[in-house]
Amino acid sequence: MKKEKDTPVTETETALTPEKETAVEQPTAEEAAADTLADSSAAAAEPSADTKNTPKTRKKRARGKKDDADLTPEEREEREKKKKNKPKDVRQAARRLISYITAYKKQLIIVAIIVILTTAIGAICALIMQPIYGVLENVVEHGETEGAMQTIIKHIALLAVAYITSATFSLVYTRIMLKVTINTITQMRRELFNHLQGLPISYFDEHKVGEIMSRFTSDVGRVSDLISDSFPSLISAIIQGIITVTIMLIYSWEITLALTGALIVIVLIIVGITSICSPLFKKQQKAMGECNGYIEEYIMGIKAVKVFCYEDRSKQRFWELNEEYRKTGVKANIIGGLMGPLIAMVARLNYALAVTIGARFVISHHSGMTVPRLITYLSYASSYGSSSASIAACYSALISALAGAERIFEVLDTPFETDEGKVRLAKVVARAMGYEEIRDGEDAEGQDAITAWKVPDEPEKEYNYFYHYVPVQCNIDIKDVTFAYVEDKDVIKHLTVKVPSGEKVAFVGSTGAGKTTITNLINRFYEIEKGDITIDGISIKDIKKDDLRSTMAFVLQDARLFAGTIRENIRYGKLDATDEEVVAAAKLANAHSFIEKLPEGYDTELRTDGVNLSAGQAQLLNIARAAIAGRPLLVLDEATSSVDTRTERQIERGMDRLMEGKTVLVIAHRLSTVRNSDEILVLENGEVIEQGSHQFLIDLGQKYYQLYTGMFEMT
Amino acid sequence: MAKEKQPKEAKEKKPKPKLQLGTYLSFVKGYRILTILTPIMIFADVLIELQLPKIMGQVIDQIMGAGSEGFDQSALNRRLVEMLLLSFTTVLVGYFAARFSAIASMGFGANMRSALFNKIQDLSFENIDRLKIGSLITRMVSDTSRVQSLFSTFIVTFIKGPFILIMAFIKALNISRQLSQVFWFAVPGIIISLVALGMLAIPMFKKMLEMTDNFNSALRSNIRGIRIVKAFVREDYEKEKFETANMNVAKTNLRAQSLVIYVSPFIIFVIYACMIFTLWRGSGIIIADKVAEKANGLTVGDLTAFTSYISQVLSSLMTVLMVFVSMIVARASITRVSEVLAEEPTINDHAGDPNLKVKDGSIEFCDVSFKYSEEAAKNILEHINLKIESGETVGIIGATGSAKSTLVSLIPRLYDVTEGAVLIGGENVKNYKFQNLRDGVSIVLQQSMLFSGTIAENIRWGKPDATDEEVIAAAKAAQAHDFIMEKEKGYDTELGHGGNTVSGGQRQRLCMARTFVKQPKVLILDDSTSAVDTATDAQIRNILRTDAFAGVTKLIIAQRITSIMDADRIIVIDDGRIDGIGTHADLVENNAIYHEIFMSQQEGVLAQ
Repeated sequence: MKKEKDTPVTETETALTPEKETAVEQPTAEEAAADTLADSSAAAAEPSADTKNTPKTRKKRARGKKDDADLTPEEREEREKKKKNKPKDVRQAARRLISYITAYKKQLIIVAIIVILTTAIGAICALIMQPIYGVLENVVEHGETEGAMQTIIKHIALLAVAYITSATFSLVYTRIMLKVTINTITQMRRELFNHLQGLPISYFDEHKVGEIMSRFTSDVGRVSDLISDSFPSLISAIIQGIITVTIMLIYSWEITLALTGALIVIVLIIVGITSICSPLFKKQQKAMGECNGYIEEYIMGIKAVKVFCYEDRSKQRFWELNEEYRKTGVKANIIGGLMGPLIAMVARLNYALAVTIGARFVISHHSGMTVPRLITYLSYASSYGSSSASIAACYSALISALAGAERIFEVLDTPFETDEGKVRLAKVVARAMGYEEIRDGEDAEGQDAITAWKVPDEPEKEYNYFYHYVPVQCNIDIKDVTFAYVEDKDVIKHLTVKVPSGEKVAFVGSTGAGKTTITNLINRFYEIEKGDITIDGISIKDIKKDDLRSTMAFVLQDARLFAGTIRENIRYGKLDATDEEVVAAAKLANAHSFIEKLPEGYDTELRTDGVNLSAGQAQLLNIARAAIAGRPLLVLDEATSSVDTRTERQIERGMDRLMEGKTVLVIAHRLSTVRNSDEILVLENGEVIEQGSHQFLIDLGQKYYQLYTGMFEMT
Repeated sequence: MAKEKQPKEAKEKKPKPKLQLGTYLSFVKGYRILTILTPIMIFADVLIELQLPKIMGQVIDQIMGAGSEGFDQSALNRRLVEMLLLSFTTVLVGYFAARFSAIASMGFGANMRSALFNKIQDLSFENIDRLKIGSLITRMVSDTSRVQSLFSTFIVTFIKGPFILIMAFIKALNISRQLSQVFWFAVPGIIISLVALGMLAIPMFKKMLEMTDNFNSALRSNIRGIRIVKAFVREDYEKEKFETANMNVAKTNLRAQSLVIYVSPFIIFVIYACMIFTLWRGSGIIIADKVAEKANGLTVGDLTAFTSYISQVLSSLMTVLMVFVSMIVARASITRVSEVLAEEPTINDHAGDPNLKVKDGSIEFCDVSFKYSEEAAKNILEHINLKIESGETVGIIGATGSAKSTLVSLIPRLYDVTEGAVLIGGENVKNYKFQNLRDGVSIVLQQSMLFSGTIAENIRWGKPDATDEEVIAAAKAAQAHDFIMEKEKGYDTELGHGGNTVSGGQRQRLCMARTFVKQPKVLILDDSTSAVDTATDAQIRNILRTDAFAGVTKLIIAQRITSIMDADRIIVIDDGRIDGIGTHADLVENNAIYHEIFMSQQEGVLAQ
């Protein structure tokens, strides 16, 4: 499924043929809406963010994800072509990144000023020291010892002041930068997470958990490194460079010219090595990815490995992958490691040059060069080398941070799930003239408040003042729905079903018949493209998603629990539930007895994914969670597949109570759980092939009968 | 990880593994010479760096002397040549340092990953259950890379720092003993501050790492459970939860890093104080010498050289500080890697006889009791006595958690019995080599795990040299052939990472085919048709009754009574004990639990 879903994405991305090109140029109305929505909300979240780029380019970028390994030659070629557009993306990423940091304008200005001052003080220190050497030279050469010590002490005192100031300053600015950095990355993570919560389910189906996680960890980390280290050292290096060059020019332009040549060489080295290195590092990254993929797969599957005594083969294969990773890594790191020594060499050559030229100048008294001046000059010459090295370090940090930032923005640019619905839920009471809405804090005046859909009278208008109310009853009407995850591969074909309020409808069929897809459509995890689903006569497309989902409780096939206590997990269905309600729900789901047996009962901490419970127990907790939610529509997708039939029977009464008065959709391949449904639909390849009550279908003697009697062929 | 170290579990754990320096040293194997050469190259680089201030001092002294004694042009030229040579050597030395350190640290990392991977592959189910699969993956993927980068920092930087310190110190001592007095105060001061930093910072960094672990686990559970989050409209609640985790990371991070920030100016301060002291004393000495007309004393060149040595000491101390911090951060990773390396497989086949093969499919449980960990109070299986003839078909049924899976996992020795013995073909399972035992006894696990590669490759897991016909026959028996043929590339279809391109039911059937191709003496199906529809399930059972499987002992664990009711015998397990054994008719009649299960699945039919 996953792989298939990737296909249209690549088609959109590569846009090989003209028709496909137009497909990209004209996104469907829905997509456009989604994009606009994402745009506006993104703009709301970060007002200074760059909103100039069109939805189209964003969409393309957001989807441009595919491992090099999966690419066919043609695709690779396309990708090469695409690379030409890359600088633009990088520039955009840089601009947006800056917008994050500029939120701390005040702090940054303070830091910049302090850094400038600190650097200036550092540079001046050499000037302060110069007279000391001047005095000493006089002492040594001319024997002028008179008053020498006093002058020296005066300058030393000055130096001490300068040193203390610069140490204090550097403490202050690093502390401020630390705070700015941490705040920025915390904000980035917050935005990432908040955005993630709004993304459509398809995004999560298409991306691996680890991939999404790495946006929060390694990519944010790279940005953090850039901000905390590079910003101050870049300012410092630039300022130091300017001061140094100025002073050096004043002293001797001839030497400075020679040194500038050295600087150009350094820049060339940096650019050269970076360009040689980056493909090598990419190769290393890829080899590492393969290695890690193998690790994940073979540790996840370790039990199968053991059962088949596959250890020797897996070790052998891992060794090969590991060796590949090692080799590519060595190559990349050797070249990368050359940058430091090369820069050091140039810096030292440069120093040697300055010493020899300077020495000659002193001897020939050229351009007023003296020994103290030469000493001062040399200290500048050496800092000249170190500041160019730190600019080099900044450059590589910048490259890696921008790559990280790009991936972060890619997530932030992924459009939210469409939610243009205007119908909301409201509490109403019935009055003679119709329904009257009860707002928060208002009293229903003794009357029973009910929940109703609040439908705008003129939905096409942007603002609505007039509404009518439709009580929530959960009459579901699925009208001629056709759906495909991947173009041309319809999973559901022309499905038409009516689920009257309070009835129980079951979907059965072999695996892959499209049963789970129906739940994905009803709660709008995926959008219907053809046909419509209405609830109480209102199209689910017109209902605000949160309100639509608030009417439904789900027990999904994949029994997911969250890290936290059992109590918290049950309470997930109703956040303000009392402890008594939690226990009642657990009892209903027959989970109470096993929870009681745990050493810490309801306060037992579940590890991530609830691994310390059996699959069956996890399902019971899922049922309790749905039970406590008390919502009018209940969707049970293989809710008890991991529960043994005896336990299932024991919870049957609880389940009956749970389903009482609710509209229920059941999906199961275990037919014992669907027998007493009001209506059973047998699906095959996305089509309803039989429909009716249990008895009717048995009498029909077709597919359902076969499925059902598959159990009883012996009797 | 933090979560896993809950107090109650900490008690169960064996004493904390030591750093195992020996083990880590063994990862250097094959790269030993380069590992030693790297710091040597770095030393050479340091020596060059230390030579420069001295040469500069000499140049200055020569120029200063030029006025009185006449300038020695050739001496200056010699200095120039020396400096140029040193600069070029820098590149050579630097290249070798980069080369050696890259090879050594990548080699170290590769050896460590291989050792860890091999160790994990050798671990028993018990070890894996305790260490947790998710945690093992993190340890292999991220912790090893952190340890590797620590290793490379260590051989490059950490050794360099103290070395510069010592060398600069010696050089300085050579220049002037009097001025070197300054180090007697500065060095202990800095060492004390580093130690103090370490003591203060370790708990803070630990706290920070713990919060980071919490953050990651919260994030992962949100992403994995996103369907539930959305279905229950709990986005805002999740955002709040995340905010707490996020802020905790930020807070602890700020605290820990601030500490480092506060300490580093202190070191700078000490160094600056040294500079000032040196200038003051140095000037004083030079002037005093001149007044006393003393020759061969301290020169101005010496003084400048001395101050450059001090600044080199400064920079080396700062690098030591940085490495120190990264060591604190990597400490947790080292511990996690060490933990796995120290883990001994709880089951091994060293005592097995390589010539002993499983001769038939008879199984015997002799008074078997079992519990998963020694500390557990209660046995999971309690005094099981059972004899199964070769070729028999035995169904096993019982409630969730009644230890059905545990019972069968003792047969291929996935776990070792706590008491009693399991005999296969009349021999204790402990007498076999794993390969021979598991060739004879094959189990289809409850979780269906497939691997990247084609369908055919996955089926061949069971028998690497299986012919195409054998592969197809196995797939047909597992009712997988039809859906395989529907795929565009048939048996050559790539299954993708973890086999995620096929549905749950299809995966189960492929797993069965993988086991069938092995043609074992004992075949165990642990609820392996739960995701397969009833009709297909029935077809598989029909196949199992054919002659092809006639001599094979079949153990079938199932939820549905229909899956096992035609077995020769059915075992009802309840709470770790055998509650009843017999045929379907027997048990319906005489066994309360079986009767209840039967009725629960039968009701609808009887009502007709």
